[in-house]
Amino acid sequence: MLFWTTVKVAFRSLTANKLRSILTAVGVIIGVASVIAVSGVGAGAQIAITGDIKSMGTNLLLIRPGQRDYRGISAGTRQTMTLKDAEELLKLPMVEMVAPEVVSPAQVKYMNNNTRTTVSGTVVTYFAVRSQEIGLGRSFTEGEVNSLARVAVLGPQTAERLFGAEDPLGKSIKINGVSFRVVGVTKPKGDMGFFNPDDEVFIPLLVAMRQLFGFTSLHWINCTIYDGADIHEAEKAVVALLRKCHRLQEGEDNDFFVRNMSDAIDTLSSVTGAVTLLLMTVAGISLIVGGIGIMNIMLVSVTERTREIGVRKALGARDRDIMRQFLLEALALSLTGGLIGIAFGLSVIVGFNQFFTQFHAVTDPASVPLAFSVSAAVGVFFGWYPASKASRLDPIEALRYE
Amino acid sequence: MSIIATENIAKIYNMGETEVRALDGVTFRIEPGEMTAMIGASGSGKTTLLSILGCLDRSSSGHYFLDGRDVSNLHKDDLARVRNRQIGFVFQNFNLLPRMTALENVEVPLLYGGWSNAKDRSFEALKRVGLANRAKHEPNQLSGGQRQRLALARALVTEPSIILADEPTGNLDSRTSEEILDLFAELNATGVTLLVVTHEHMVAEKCRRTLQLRDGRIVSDSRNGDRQKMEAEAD
Repeated sequence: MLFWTTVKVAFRSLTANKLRSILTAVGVIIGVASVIAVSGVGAGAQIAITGDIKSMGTNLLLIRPGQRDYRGISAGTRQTMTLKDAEELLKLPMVEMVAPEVVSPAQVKYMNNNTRTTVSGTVVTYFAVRSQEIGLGRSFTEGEVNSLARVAVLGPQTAERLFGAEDPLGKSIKINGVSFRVVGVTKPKGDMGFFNPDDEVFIPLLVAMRQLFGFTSLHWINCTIYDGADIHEAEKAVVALLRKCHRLQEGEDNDFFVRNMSDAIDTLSSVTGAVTLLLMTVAGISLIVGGIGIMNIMLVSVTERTREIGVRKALGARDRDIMRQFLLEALALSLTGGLIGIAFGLSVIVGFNQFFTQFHAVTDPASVPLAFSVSAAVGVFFGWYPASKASRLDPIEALRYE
Repeated sequence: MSIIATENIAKIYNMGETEVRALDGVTFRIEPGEMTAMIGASGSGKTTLLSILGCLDRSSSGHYFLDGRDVSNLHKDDLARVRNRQIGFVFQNFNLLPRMTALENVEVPLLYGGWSNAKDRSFEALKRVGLANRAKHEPNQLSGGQRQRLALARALVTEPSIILADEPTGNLDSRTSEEILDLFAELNATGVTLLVVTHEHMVAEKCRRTLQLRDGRIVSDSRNGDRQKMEAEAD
């Protein structure tokens, strides 16, 4: 009974100074809204980034040759990784598929359309290893790879650039002046930032190595391990095998790098997590500033209502009754601010998703009750001092206050 | 049993080097059903005494028995309870709470005291002071006289042992003052005990007993009947 009346009184005294209450709540509104928006956008970015990597497959090991260095100065890529290595890798029990690859930038031409893109020479399994689906036509066959057929699979962006609306299948393109027949187009996967699988041309490995670019060693060995196999164990086995193949002595550095995708996900998640945390900290600071605003206004309110406090004490209010009244008032301010902030933050997320299509901001269902309790905590924390000041007023002095 | 009984109450303020004796050995009693005026020049100690009688302050020495119970050394919270249950205050400047209706103002002490059916009781109190038709009005919509009636209703509602009124007509014109004093007399006739602090003789004349304070002491305690008799004899 007393509680509800106190709540009612708290809201009434806030609405009596509408503008002042709103301005005071703005700090909390902005704080809560930005915490919700930032965490939503951050979580969305994280999901998008790790999703991109997962779309390449989490059971993927990428091996590339090490850097040559001469007295600490980088001197290009080592040329020690060979097709033989790839064949040996496939013999490892944990390894499911292996796709050796060479890459090179090249000029690609169709009729009058010209584009510079990455040409990747590889084998049939590549598409399975990299979860690269074929959207149009087909991938090249084992027979074509073995017979050094000049066939090409285009990334969708490359196809678009060369052919526009025209159907590329069966057409002849020129890569560095050599003719290739287009047999397929991959499905779009989206730009990964550090490379773009949609803007690439895939041709049989040996054609690329021997006929087009003259490479004698590999640039990548992509391999997948069986589901359920431990990726770190697999990585160790791969390293051991390659060291044996390359006849590296104990104590000698690896002349290759192995990267596994689940580590890459961990790294990227921790990066986006750190960025989100940083932004959340900034948002949190504005919450604190909002709390200080509440404290300030509550102190003003206590002074203004000194006489009311005196009257209430004369009528039998104990210190704790006065304390509760002012705490509830601070709480009403911060919770109202918090609720508006939650609504505001959620609409920012909705708005974000309307305007940006790169990825979707998500609402963490836990963030709403969290923001609510944080604003409650802000109210109690910053309302405590003014409320306790009010409760300790001497009734006689308070009654005499003009 | 006396409602109020004080024994040698003193209140001493230390102002740095000097000591101010606001009250200097006050002893008196108020019996149930009395309507007493307390007069005295400003600085005579009447406000200090009223604060102590109202349990808003404690005396420096001496004893104060309210309804036979020594309340001189109670804890803050217990004093709040005594104020809530046994004392009703009426102030010069009404001290009504803004943004609350008349009815809600009357309810305040009941809510702090944890009474049941606060609404009905409050409405009854409003009726007693003739404000039943103003229950939904806020104080700033009421006239001065109505405000003081409302304050009186708030003082009455807990059925206290005594109502302490501090210059209750100080902010009212003479006609309204008369009205309020008549209401006091009316309530007194129904058994309410009142102590009215005033410096107006008109107010004191309405009371049957007058205590006069000077320099922190009670210098006279007269029944108005006596004084009228004295004045009549002097004539």
